[in-house]
Amino acid sequence: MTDLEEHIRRTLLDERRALPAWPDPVSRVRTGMTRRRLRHAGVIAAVTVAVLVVTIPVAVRRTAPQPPVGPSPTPTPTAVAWLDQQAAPDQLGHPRLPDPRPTARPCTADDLSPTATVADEGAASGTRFYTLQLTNVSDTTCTLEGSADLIATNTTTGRRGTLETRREELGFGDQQEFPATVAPREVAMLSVRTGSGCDGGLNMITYRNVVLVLPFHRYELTGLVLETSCLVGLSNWFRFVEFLSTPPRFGDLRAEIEAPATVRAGGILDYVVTLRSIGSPVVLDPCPGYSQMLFKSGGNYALNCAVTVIPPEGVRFAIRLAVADYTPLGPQVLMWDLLDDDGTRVSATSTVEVTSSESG
Amino acid sequence: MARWDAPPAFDEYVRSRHTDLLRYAHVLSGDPHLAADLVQDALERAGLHWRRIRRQDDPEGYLRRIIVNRYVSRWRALRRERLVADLPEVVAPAGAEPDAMWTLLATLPRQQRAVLVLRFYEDLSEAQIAEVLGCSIGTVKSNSSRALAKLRALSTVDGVL
Repeated sequence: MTDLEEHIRRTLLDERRALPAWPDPVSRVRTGMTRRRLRHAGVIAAVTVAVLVVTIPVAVRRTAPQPPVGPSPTPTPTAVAWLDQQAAPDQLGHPRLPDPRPTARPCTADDLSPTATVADEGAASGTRFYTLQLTNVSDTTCTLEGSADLIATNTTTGRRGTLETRREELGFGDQQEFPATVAPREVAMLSVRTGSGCDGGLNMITYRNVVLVLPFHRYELTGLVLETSCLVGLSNWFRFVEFLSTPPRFGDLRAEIEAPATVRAGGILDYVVTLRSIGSPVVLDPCPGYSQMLFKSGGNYALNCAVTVIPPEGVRFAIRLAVADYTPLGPQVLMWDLLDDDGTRVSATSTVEVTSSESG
Repeated sequence: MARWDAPPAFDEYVRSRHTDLLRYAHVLSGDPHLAADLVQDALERAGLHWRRIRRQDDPEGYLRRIIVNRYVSRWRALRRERLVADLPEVVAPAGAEPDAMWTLLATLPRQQRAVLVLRFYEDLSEAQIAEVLGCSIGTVKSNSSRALAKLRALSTVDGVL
């Protein structure tokens, strides 16, 4: 090893590269996972206040600014006490998936549509996804396992052959079921990824006349042109699984936040959420969870269901949030969401000024 | 429990491993804020598929592959979500030498820096690096030689070595 290489190694292994541990890594990650799931389900539009107001038909009221205070105020005695308890998984209002489908007999060429369909799933940051689809045209369920090969022509060299590919997890996240066990008229899917992020994107290769190769049949993928500087990624065959339809439990609920105007970075934010029904009283049984977030502080918690019926006049719940000391100073949006079974949310937001931990 | 609910073992993994992943992402990116976002993104993705990851692969390798590929590909969402505030940088120990090589590494393109990190921090072979980055061994070699040549030239000028 040269002096330069040794110097690089020492620099990279230097203890100064270590970063501080996160205060609550599990809540931080699980909160992000919940957001992803809801995004995947197509029921969360954005995290900005404006988009929330437009896309989610629930009441969002910002309380009038209050005069700056020192310590966070104690909730009024009329509020249901805050419960310092993480939400259980079944309190997070996940959209549900059906039970996995058992595999069936292997699909044959006769079971599948004579041509494959190509869906362009779009591109982002130099990565483009396609979904290759074969429909079960038989009268019985069959299973398509494993992956496939692609044959194509490299337009630069003129060479034609089987593409070197890499197996990847691609596609639709939780809504994929492997292998693809497809009932009549259902579609088996295979995801293809190309990318320009390799080799600086300088050596892009264009493949035309792409053919999908299965052990029992070849399918010409008319019109598909793959442009990539990376190995082409291929998934295994999968079936797209719809979430189970679950009626919302909290469609009649509205939420409002009463929060102090300021909180110190590294301090405790005590605030009150009032839930009201705009229809008949709503019963919180089973007891739901909620998420709260201010910058990157927050998490998913169990609601204190000491009161289980929410009447039109409302019930006030005391809520507490530990504000991370790394929270940027200035106005931050406090978001509070009650998580419903169908993946929707009863939301409220407020703006809180984060002040220096040294102030006051 | 829905099948994509990560089990309690995932929580334990997050608690015990996130600091090492943060360090890896920091070495890779040179940016503590971006490192935090890369690790957050990778852990969220891993958590959603935890059972499959534990069954099929080593979780640590899976996470590190996500982190490096997200870093190299300049994932747009990560850039959008990057913090804009000035978070405190890790403070160098008192009396530490000026970190000239660390500064020089920041001048490299992402792909070249990733190759050096995988080679000298992760101790991967060229073939393993090619596998992680999804490129050819030739690309790894050319990126490595270009990066070293640039660092050699800059460090000579700057008197780092």
